[in-house]
Amino acid sequence: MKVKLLATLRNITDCNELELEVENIQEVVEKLIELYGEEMKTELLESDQLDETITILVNGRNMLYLNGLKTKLKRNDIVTIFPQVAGG
Amino acid sequence: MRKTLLINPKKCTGCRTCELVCSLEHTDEFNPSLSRVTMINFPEEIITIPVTCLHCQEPSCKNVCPTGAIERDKETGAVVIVDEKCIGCNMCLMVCHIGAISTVEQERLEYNVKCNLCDGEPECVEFCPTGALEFGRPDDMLLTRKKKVANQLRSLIEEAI
Amino acid sequence: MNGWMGQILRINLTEETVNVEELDQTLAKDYIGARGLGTKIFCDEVEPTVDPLAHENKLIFATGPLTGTAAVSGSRYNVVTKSPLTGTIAASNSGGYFPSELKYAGYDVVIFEGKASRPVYIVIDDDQVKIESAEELWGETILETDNQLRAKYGDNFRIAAIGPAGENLVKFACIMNDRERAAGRSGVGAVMGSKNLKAVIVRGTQGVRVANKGKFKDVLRNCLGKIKESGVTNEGLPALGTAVLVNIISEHGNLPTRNFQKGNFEGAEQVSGEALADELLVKNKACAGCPIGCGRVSLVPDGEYKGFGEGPEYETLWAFGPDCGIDNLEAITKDNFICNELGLDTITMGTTIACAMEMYEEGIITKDELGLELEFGNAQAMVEAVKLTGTREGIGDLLAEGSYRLAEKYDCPEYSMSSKKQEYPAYDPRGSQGMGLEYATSNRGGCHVRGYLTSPEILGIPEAIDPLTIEGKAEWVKIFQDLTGVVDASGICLFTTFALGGGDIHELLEAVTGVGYTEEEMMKVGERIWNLERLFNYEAGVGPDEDKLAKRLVEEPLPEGPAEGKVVGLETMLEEYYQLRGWTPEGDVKEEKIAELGI
Repeated sequence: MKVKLLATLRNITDCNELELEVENIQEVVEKLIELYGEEMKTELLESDQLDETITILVNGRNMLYLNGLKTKLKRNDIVTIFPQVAGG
Repeated sequence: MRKTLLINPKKCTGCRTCELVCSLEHTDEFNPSLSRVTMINFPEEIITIPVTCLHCQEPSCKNVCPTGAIERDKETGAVVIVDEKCIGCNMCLMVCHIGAISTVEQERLEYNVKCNLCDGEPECVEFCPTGALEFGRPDDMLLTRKKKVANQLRSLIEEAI
Repeated sequence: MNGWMGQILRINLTEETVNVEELDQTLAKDYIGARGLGTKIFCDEVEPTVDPLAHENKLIFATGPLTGTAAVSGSRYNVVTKSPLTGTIAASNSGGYFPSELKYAGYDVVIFEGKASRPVYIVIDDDQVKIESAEELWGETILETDNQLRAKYGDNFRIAAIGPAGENLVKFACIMNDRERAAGRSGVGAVMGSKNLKAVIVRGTQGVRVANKGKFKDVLRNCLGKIKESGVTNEGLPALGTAVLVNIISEHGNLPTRNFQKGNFEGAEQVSGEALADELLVKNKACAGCPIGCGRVSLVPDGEYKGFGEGPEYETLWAFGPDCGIDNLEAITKDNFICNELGLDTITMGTTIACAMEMYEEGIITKDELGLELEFGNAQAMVEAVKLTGTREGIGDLLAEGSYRLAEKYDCPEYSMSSKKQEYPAYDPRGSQGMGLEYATSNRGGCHVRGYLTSPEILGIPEAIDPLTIEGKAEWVKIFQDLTGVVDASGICLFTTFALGGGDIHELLEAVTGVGYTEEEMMKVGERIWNLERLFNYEAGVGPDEDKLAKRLVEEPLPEGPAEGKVVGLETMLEEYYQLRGWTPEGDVKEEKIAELGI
C-alpha cells in the first residue's frame, strides 16, 4: 500500500510517499521507525505509544474511527500520516 | 569573557516583541516609542531588523556627555546613563552613530534614555521568539556560525575534488 | 484604565469634524473590545435597516485591551459595519502593526460617520487629527498609496487603505493595512469607499498600561511555553504557514474542488504548503507581538506571473487553486498579489470565479458575456477576471457583486456556494459536519473564523471528534463561537487558540486589565456578542430563515472519498443548536436571553 507523509514529517524522510507491504497500521509505524531511525521514533512515539498528536488516515478516514492501530490494510489502501498541524 | 548582544537580521520576523517587552520593563507600559530597541522596517523589501545600542568600546555618547552621566557598567559591560546625573541636553543623542539614544518627554527622573542590557538579562532577548536577538559569550555564539561556514566549505571542497 | 486607552475618536466626514469621547467603562467590561465593543457601539448608533453604502452607515475601527501589548499575537483590530455583501453585521479582523498604533495614539475605537464630499484621508498623530484631500491618491493601488503616504509622512506612520476595489464599491473589497494585511471579508472596504475615505494613517506615542506587570510576565512566559510545545504553533505554522492544510484537508476528502463538486483535488500537492515552502517562500512574517509568524513572503522570480509580496494563505491557495481547478502555484500567488494591490477578499474572489466557471461549463453564461474562456483550470483567464473585478470593467462589474448575485441574475442561485450571500471558505462541510452548522449559523454568512470546527473534526485540537457524525456538534459549535467572540474582542489572534485555552486567555486579560472577570463571565461576553450580532441581523431582515446552506451541501452527496455519499445533516444539528443557545425552536432570540445577557 501507499504511505503518504505530510507536513514536517517530510523533513525526516526527504520523500513524499513510499510503498510498504504490511498487514496493519501498527506495522506501518514500526516499519517507518525501522527505515528512518531515531528521528522518526521521536516524532511518532511518546513513551513507546503512538503520540496522540500524530494523525493516521486510511483512505482519508482517521484510524480512530476505524480499528485504531489494528486497522487491517489492503493492497490498494492509502495511508496518510501527519503531525499535529493547523491553519485556517 | 563578557557577554555581548548579537543581532541576526535573517531570523527577524518583524513581530516587535522586543520593543514591547523593553518598554514594559523600563517604563511599565507597552509603548514602542519609549523602547530602547527599535524594529526597523523596509516595507518594499519586506525586511525587518531590530536596532539597539551596540555598547561601543569608544562610546561617543560617553565622551560627549557634559555631566559625566554616561558610564560603562563594570559587571555587564553595558554603556549606561546614570539618571540622576542626566540633564537631558541631548548631546549623546546628537553624536550616537547608531541612533540608539532617545528622549523621554514625560515627567520622569530620566531624560535621555538608552539600552542598559537590563542589568545583564535583556528582556528583548528572553522574549524574542526566533533568536533574532541573542545575548551571550561571543566565542560561544559565533562558534555556531563558524561551524555552518565550515560545513559549507567542507562540502564545496569535497565536491570540487 | 489598564489595557484600554479610555478614548473613542469620532470623525464625521460630512461635517469634517473630529471629537474625542470617553470610553464607558461598563461597556468596555461587558463587551471587552474590538469585535465586541465595536459591535455594541455600532448597534446602538446605526439603524439595522440602513443601506450599507449610504452615508448613514458607519464604519468602526475597534481594538481590544490586549491590542498593542505583548500578550501573544496581540495585534488585532476589527472593522465593524453593515456589510454590503450580506446585509448583516460585518466584523472583519486584521493584524499587522496598524491596530496597535491606534492604541498608541490613544484610542480604543475610531468611528467614521457620514460621507466626505471629496476623496479624503485621515491623519491621526496622537491627539492631532486631520482630514486631508486624497484627490491625488484616488485610483491608486494599495502599495502605491502606502508608498506615497510614507514618502510624505515617514515610516513611523502605520497605514490602512482601500484600493481601487473599495473605491469601485466591489462588494467584497477589503481594507488593507501595513500594505498586505487584510480586514478581508464582507466588503468592509466598499463601505470605506462609499465614504470617500481612501486611507487612515496613524502614529502614536502613548503607552498601553498593565494592571499587574509581574503577573503579566508570568502568564506570558506560560503561554509562550505552550506555544513552543505545540507542534502547530512552533513547527507547522512557522515552517509551512496556513497552507500546511492543503494536503491534509484534501486527504480527508474535504477540499472543495471545482465549486464544491467534489472534495479532493488531484493537483493538491502542487499547490500545497510544502510546495510553496520549496518553491516560492522567501521568509516568514509576523504581526506585532506574535511568536508564531504564519505570514508568508513569496517571490515568483520571473515569467508571466512574476511578483513579490505577502501570501498566499491556505484559503487563498484553495480559492484560486482547487476551487477553480487550478494547480499552477505561480498563477495563484500572482492572483494573491493582485488582490492585495486592488484590495479584494481572496476567498470571495476565487469562489465567485469558481461559480462563474461552473456556470460557463454548464452553458448558463456564455463566452460572449464573459469575454473570457472561463473554464475550470484556465489560470490565465482567472488572473484576467481578478483584474477586471477590481476596476469593474467588462464581466468584472458582475463578478464584483459576489457569487450569489451573479448566480441569481442567471436564475441559478444554487450555483453560489454561500450562506447569507457570503461565500464559504476551504472546507467541505459534507466531510466536516460541524463546520456545516458553523457556516449556516455564522452571523456574517459563510465563514470559518467564527467557530472553527475543523480544529476538533479534522485536526484533533483540542481533541479529536468524528467529522462525519452530527452528534454533539451543536454544543461544540456554540462553545467555539462564544470563545472566538472573546478572542476577537480581546485583540489577540485566533491562531493562539491552537495552543492556548480559554483559561490562558482569561489570565492574559486579567493581568492586563485587572477588571476581575471570572472565566465564566468572560465566556458570557462571547455569548453576549453572538446574541447581539444575531439581533442586529434579525432587525436588518436576515432572520433564522437564512440559517441555511447552499442546496448542494444538503442535497448532493459527495461523490467520492471518505465522506462519499454524505450530505450535511443540518436540520437536526440546527434544532439542537437553537435549544442550546436558549432560543425558540424557530431560532428567535428570547426576551429572557436578552435580559440574562444584559444586552
